[in-house]
Amino acid sequence: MAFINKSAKEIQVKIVYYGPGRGGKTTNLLYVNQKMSAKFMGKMISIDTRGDKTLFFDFLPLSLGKIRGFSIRVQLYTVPGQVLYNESRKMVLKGVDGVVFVADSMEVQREANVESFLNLRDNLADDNLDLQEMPLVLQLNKRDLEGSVIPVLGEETMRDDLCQHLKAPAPVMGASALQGPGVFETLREISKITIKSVHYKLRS
Amino acid sequence: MPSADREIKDIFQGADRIEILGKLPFILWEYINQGRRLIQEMGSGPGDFSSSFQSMERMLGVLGTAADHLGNEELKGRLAGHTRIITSYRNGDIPHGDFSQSFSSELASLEKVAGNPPNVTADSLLPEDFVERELQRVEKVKTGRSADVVVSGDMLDDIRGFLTEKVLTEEISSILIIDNAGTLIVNVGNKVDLDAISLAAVAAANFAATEKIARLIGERDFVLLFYKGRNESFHFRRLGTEYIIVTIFNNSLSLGLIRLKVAEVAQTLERKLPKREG
Ligand SMILES: Nc1nc2c(ncn2[C@@H]2O[C@H](COP(=O)(O)OP(=O)(O)OP(=O)(O)O)[C@@H](O)[C@H]2O)c(=O)[nH]1
Ligand SMILES: [Mg+2]
Repeated sequence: MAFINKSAKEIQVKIVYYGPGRGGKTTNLLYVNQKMSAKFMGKMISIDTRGDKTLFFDFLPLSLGKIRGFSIRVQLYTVPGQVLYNESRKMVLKGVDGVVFVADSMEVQREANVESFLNLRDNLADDNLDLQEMPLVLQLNKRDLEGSVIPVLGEETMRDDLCQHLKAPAPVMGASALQGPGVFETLREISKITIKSVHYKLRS
Repeated sequence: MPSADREIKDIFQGADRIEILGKLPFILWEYINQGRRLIQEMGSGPGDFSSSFQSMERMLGVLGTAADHLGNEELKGRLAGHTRIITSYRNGDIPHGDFSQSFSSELASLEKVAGNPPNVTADSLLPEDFVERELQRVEKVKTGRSADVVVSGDMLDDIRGFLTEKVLTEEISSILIIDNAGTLIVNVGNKVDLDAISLAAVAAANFAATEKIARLIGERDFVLLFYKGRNESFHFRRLGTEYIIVTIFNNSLSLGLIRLKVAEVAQTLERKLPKREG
């Protein structure tokens, strides 16, 4: 749930990075944390066992400047992708304003991507939220593996796999969270559409 | 080939498989580059190259298994060629001069099936020593020392027996032992209908989050967590560095008493549960 403080002229939104286990959600946040100026960033907090798979969530607060006089604060969260941690995923998803779905481009993860996407839809529905209405960016991660010995899914295939569950197609971004391309593009896009949707809700 | 089969099964399980496959092109090209460097060094005269060979053989082990898992016969064949030629050289079957030449051509044919070399940018999050880290990860997975603890059935029966007979009472209705990652290891007690798997995962997350809070406010040795409900309460306590004991008990029991009891149990269990190495 976006938090709007009219007297302090501040909007705070919550963006969750969702997707199958080991797909690169935490890596996205790590990259932002490493490359963005500390001036605009709070401390990154990871709740995990040993800097590996996420157990609960990662959290990174950012300030993204001003839009129409309002200071924009964005809180990035990741969920644990492993199937086992569904209860934790639901907790992190509470009050979400925008979702980045980090899909894994490796061919072996094709089913896992779709499974996780449907799990997102169901978990949102449990919270009376509709995936179709949710600001959403589809990130196709690990594109750096294209042309390597690891079989990778085509961007079209990935887009179709996910978009067939959507009424209107969502923006799609190729990325390599490990190397950087696409990370900030994704963040910019999701921030833009999330803030727009919050603004819209604010007016109506 | 039963032994190779076992190896594949070991390193290509669940999340580890995804992790290793995603790093494979980097390892493959690191191998090729090391090979090139080795040839150069050998060109400038004889010396002791055994540490280079050792490191390359280690990479070959992982790469070969991965190629097999991927069903990439071409790559598998090329890698087998590499293993062969390195072994013959180290056994003294190929003279120094001949080795460089044939190895160089083996490298060239490996490059042909290796796909594009990864383009590691200055911005990359890959640490300098990441190949070493990946190899260590693979070795950990192979020897069963990955995130999943290996516990024998006898050990579990023993622990279950101990908890059921010596610890469960009218007031203490359930005890769960979970690991840091939320894997349910043992569940005894009469709260059988609870969704123990989810409970374990959430309990571990909760414990980790509380531990994080403790650290954020500067507390180091966080060991227990207590939650008092209307009828029943929960008590979480660290057990060694890997495990957490979750006790569910009736409110008629005092916190002091439960703490004492769980501390005793923890001592006994620490001897019974396997420790993670490394
Ligand atoms: N090749 C490649 N590997 C990547 C990329 N992004 C992440 N990885 C690797 O994928 C593995 C998993 O990345 P994480 O960011 O921990 O994945 P996650 O989605 O947070 O995983 P969970 O916390 O288990 O849900 C790590 O080994 C990363 O280095 C990428 O763009 N390319
Ligand atoms: Mg993660």
